[in-house]
Amino acid sequence: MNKIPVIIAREYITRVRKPVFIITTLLVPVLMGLIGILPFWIMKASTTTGRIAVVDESGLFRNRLESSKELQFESVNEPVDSLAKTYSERGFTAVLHVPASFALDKPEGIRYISEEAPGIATAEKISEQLTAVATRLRLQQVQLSPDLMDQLTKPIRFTTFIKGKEGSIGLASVIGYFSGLLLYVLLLIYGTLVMRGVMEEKSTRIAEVIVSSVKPHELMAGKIIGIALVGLTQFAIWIVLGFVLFGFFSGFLPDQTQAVQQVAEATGQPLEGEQTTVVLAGLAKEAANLPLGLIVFGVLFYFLFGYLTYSSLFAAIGAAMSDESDQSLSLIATAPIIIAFIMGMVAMAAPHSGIAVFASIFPLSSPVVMPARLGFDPPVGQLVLSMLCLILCFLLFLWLSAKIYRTGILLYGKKVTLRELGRWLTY
Amino acid sequence: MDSGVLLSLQNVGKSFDKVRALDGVSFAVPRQSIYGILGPNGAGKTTALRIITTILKPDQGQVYFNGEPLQDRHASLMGYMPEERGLYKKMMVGEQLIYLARLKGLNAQQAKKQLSFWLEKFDIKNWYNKKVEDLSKGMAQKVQFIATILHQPQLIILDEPFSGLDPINTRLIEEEIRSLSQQGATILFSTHRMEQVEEFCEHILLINKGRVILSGKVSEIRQRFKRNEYSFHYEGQRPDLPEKVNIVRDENHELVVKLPPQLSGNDLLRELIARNVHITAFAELLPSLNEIFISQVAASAHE
Repeated sequence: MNKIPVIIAREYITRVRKPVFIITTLLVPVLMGLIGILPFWIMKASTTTGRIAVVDESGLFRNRLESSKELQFESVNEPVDSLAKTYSERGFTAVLHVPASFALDKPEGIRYISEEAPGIATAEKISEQLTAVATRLRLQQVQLSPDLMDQLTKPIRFTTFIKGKEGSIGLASVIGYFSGLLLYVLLLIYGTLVMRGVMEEKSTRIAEVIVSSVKPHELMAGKIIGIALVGLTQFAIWIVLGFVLFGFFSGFLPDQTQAVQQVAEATGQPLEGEQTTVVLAGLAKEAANLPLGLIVFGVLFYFLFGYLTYSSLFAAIGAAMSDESDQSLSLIATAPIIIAFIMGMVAMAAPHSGIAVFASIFPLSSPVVMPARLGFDPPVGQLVLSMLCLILCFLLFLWLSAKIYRTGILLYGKKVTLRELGRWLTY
Repeated sequence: MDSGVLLSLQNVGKSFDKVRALDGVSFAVPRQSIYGILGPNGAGKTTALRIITTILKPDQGQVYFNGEPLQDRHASLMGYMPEERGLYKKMMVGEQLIYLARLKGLNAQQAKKQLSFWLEKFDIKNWYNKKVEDLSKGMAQKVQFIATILHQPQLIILDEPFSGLDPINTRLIEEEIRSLSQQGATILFSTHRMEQVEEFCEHILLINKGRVILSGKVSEIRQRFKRNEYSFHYEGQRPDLPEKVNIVRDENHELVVKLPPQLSGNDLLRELIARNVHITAFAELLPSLNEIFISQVAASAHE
């Protein structure tokens, strides 16, 4: 009788039954969301809100700097030296001093005076405002009409067409980012689970009892498959949760956009809501043009084979480790995953660069990098090559790991050197 | 193949790197016997047991089980308790024992039935839902023993079965081993505690440095290694002894003497009676297994 199903069942049931399974199932999406939002949040956090007193001795910027919610400009007619001492008591963040010597043909000498340095975004915004005002003034000098001026300074946007299809790098980036992140988190979590399971069997010495009943590779396979099923169960829960949440929100979303459109039509005025409608419509269009099927298939494929490859590596490491306190060997597996994630970020910035192409084919990084590239429609040849390499790498790792595993789990209380690991392959 | 033999090893060898763990080991375990493997630490006992349990493959030689060359499927006919005891700490006793029995090929129902029999026998039914980590060491030993025999194996292999056991559990396990043997199981165990082997085993195998030093029935081995030593108790003064008889010990009117090869126990007795010595006890001294063990290991170390 084949005993692998019995092993799979134990590995699966003991894990799914634990409270920690429910907790991680709920926590990972939250964590993912947080990690996903973090860069945007950091960007936003670097825009410190501020109220800036403008002492404009040149008179060029008076009442021309546009205030926003985050950044307010107020003209103050006071000597800059005294204001510099009292600004914070009066509720200002800083003093922006434009000297009398400032002129459009000699735009120098503006000072930002404060106890605290401005954030990068704040500094950028102030500079932008000053430049915009100066540009308009220069254009006025050459006596352009306001209409023409508007036309000249209007920013121009473009639509991207990838392989004849309208698309946008926006959604592809977001999906790529999340796919890469998801794979990174899953490989680490489940790889570590496999490693700890093996270490538990080794340190409690149950391994020897079990391999007197089944072959070591059966035990290893049962463990890896059982934990993969735990992962797929978690996937399934996330998908169901996702649909439930989606259904919940989409229940009133279309009505709202419709209402906004109706109001907009009735009044003939563009409402703020119009933007939402446009964005939503744009997203729907982008989504329709993205290879969604390919992305879903890719994420599943790279999860499955990435997991199988890395978990055989993790299993071998777990078997080679002498006790739980010594985890330095686990770097052999965790370091490539972390490097792969960094390469994935590089690939997002330049999806067709040499490094991105290499990292999405090299089997230790492809499970993280290729999913990140999928939204950018990588060439089919690269995709096939990447998948083939991953499958071959998995088979190689499985073979090597099974050899290390069967020796390692029975070797107690001994620290193993890499050279010894090499010799185990010949037993 | 002798049908009275359950397990036999023929010229089995196994190396790890340059270490020769087993070197041409041959022995046969009679059906229904209690068979002891003795040897100092590092002699190759555990390697031999791991080969028998199909955990390791020998580099050379052949192992026969029930007259057939040993195959993986034979593993389910054996129960193995390793020297390093092991159970899943976080798993409940009942679940764990059923799992281990299922790995030996029992279905869930058979496993449950067997389990309730043994839990009742050891009077530990209320442990079913206890986690192993909450058990005392002695309790865990009982669970380990049940795990070894739950699937009614033909061959029960115990590596140092009594190490770490308290006297009460030792007695319990000893009784179980005897009764399992009477019910038809063959017991193969390793140990370095000689007193147990003497009262327990019919057959022994002594190995050192991967080689068999001697094997056979305990009674025959002791005969083979007798040193022509006799002990007798006397009254009155210490008697004069015949020529070439050496005194080994002389305490409290007891003499232990070693005879030259040409003299037998009867010769000595005749001489003593002729000298009017009043003898109250007379016995031939057979060497203990412990002595044989030490002298043989020492001898093989000089080779």
